[in-house]
Amino acid sequence: MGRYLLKFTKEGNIKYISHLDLLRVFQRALKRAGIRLRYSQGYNPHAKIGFAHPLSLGYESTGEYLEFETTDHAGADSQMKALTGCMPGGIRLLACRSLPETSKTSVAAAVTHASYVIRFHGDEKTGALMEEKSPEYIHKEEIICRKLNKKKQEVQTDIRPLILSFSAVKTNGSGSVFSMTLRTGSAGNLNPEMLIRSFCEFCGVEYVRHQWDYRRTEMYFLPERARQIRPLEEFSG
Amino acid sequence: MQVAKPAVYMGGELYSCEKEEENTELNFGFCFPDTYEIGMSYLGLQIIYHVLNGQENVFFQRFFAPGTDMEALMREKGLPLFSIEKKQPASEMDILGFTLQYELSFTNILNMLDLAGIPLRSRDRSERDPVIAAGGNCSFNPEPLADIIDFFMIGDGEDILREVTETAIRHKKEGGTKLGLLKKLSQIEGVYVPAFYRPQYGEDGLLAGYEKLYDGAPDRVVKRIVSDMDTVPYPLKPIVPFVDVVHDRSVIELFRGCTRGCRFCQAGMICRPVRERSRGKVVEYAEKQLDSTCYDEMSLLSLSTSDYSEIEPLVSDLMKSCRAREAGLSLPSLRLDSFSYEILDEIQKYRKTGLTFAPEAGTQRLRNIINKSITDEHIDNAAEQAIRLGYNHIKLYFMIGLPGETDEDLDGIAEIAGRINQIYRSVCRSMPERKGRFQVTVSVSNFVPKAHTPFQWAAQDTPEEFNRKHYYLKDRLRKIKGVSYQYHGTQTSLLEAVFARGDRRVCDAMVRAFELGCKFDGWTEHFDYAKWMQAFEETGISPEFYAQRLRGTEEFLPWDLIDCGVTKDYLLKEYRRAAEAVTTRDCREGCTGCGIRRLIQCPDYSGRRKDPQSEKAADSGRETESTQR
Ligand code: SF4
Ligand code: SF4
Repeated sequence: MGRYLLKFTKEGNIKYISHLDLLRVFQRALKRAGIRLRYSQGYNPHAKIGFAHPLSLGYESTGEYLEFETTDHAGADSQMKALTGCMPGGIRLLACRSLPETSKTSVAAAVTHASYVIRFHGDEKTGALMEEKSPEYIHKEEIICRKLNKKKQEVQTDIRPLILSFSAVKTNGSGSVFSMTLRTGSAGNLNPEMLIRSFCEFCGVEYVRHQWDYRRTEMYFLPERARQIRPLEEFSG
Repeated sequence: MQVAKPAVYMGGELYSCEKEEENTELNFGFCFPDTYEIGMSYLGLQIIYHVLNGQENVFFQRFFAPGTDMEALMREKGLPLFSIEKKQPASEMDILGFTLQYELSFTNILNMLDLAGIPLRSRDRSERDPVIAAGGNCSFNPEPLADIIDFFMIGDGEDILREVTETAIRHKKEGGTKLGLLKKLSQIEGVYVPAFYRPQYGEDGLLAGYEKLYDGAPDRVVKRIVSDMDTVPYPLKPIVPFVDVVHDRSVIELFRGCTRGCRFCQAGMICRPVRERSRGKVVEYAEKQLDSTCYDEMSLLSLSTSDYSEIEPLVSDLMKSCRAREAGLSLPSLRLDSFSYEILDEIQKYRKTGLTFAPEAGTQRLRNIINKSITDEHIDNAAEQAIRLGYNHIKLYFMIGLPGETDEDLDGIAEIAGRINQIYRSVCRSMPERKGRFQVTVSVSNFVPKAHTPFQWAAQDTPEEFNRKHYYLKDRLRKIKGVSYQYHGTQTSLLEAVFARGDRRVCDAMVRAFELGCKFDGWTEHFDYAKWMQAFEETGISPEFYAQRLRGTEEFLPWDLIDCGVTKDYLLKEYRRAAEAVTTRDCREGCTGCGIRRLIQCPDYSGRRKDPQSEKAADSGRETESTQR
């Protein structure tokens, strides 16, 4: 038996396939690579495989994670090697590590933060305005957003506590880029699009989805007794 | 996202094909007039993709009908219909070939041409526009699309497509007009070029015949038949879509054709004779496909799968192959009695869904009329066995509006549903461990008379009569506990009937309906009956004339130009036997003289199972239909 954490990218056209479709792609790729997944016991057995955190449709990423359990026990390197030729274009495998077979926490439960790099490619003046406004935005005590709750009622919520960092990044001309690290996971989660919408509103700019490119760059966890979050790549529990 | 499912336009799927342009001598666009998810579940696409891209000098690319959100975006941005493979505009193809699977997709053909910037009617197109082709079951009555399509390919596609593309490549090299190409193509057996035939109408408004406009064109177009299923190419590496399509699994075709001769069934007539793939090949293909795709499910496809001559050993072979690959085998409704308990139990492990039967009609008398050889006893036995095996859901398919139907036949449907419920209760009494909810679903569709069937002369019920019958039946079924009732819209059935037996004149109504905004007519959320009625009215086409008129047997029929192998005499004989409620045997038990032997030898069934019990509740003619929503 083996348990693994695989880090991979999702770039180019493949960003258009959904979370569930991507899971199927991995399942088939693992099968093609001759890696046999472990199944859960019980009435409705399912393969032990899952992503650390879903990536929205249309987002690229250079920091995605997949956790899976296998029936055999091969080294992490050989698993990654076997898998490499079986992936569609746009998915590069970056790293793979073995995890202890028994563990209290799944990778998905361990995720606390994710960072994003988001590019605006609308007109330059608007971009410059937003870059300029970004410090003011993030220094607000609270950032109130409207969202729909489970009963589909509109409620107000303060997203400021969910933002670890947010800033404009200096670029050499190719649009305006914003970098951010946000709470992610079951204990607190902020979708970057919600932040961008609220930021646009703050700047008095209309939010147009296709003017923005979203890219996740990393996911993080908080190691036991630690105070600083660490990239999920280092997760070992 | 501006478009709900961008991935379906993306391409790049496993085993999709991207060719180098320098080797390409012919660009062939395969157009499926429905969405990607439906088209990619269609085996014919995978077969043709494999056959044509196997030719080095042909680049075969896919085109699908974009979803309405994507279409709106394309029209707004002025983007033309593009291929999945290279995002190449459809107008740059040499040939655009549509597959005709069901009548309600015809307006999507018009919409796709329009999106491609190609004039709808052949006569309005120039030398620069692609040649528009079509094939598939609906081309057995090509006339409603005769003004749109430059040439049709009738029958099995594998050989004819190769011949057509070779001819087109030669023609392209030699240089020449479109008309010249069509003349050459018309020499290929199975090719029908409608422009070479002008319909003649009598004073009574009926079609009187066709005047041939090009002497070299054949008097009648004979369908193509692939004779050897073991040598015909089969996709061992089918395209594996990224997105969850309608049937996301590996599919193996066991055989073509059907010997049962149900009188309403077009596939049963036009796909004759039965041609089986050998058991060894089926298993080989299944294993290779599972290995290449890594699907976790496999299914078998044929018109009446359980009629395969070695079905039991085959299933047991396939179970082994699948198990070794951690895949499930999903079987269409099989004759339960022909299987050992062991195999059924094995199948059960993978397949927890319901069981389906298609008795089609509620009484023995009506089943005799339609030549559906299922008896009440068969239904009861199969239901009991299924219940004992633990199935919790039985689905029954029926048709209403069949020729000779009375309200007693509708009562019969309710009786069958009621009896199955009783069987369930009595099984429960004898098997205390048999617990859980139990449900019978009665699914009813409206009879649509089809070309090349014994009922091609019959009248369809009016929408009012269909509705009356639905309410009548619904009322009967309401009184039985645990029965649910599903039925299909009567308005679309009328439309289907118009195009299933339409002549060249109905094309105007179709074009008008398209102009009024009709598309995706098979989708309830898009179908707009009022617009269709407006289109019929404006073009002076009477839907009743085509759907509800009882045709005289001496009448010249629009599709008489097409020789599907089964003779008109035979169909007429069957029509008359139906009127007398006399059945005709399954021709495995002895040839009944349908006429296909003029074209090809029929298999010798003498060495095979011949028991009268063989006519059980099997039928997957329905399954092919049900994928058409
Ligand atoms: S020719 Fe005879 S055996 Fe062959 S399909 Fe027709 S009826 Fe059946
Ligand atoms: S309905 Fe089924 S069994 Fe009957 S002729 Fe058609 S395919 Fe064969």
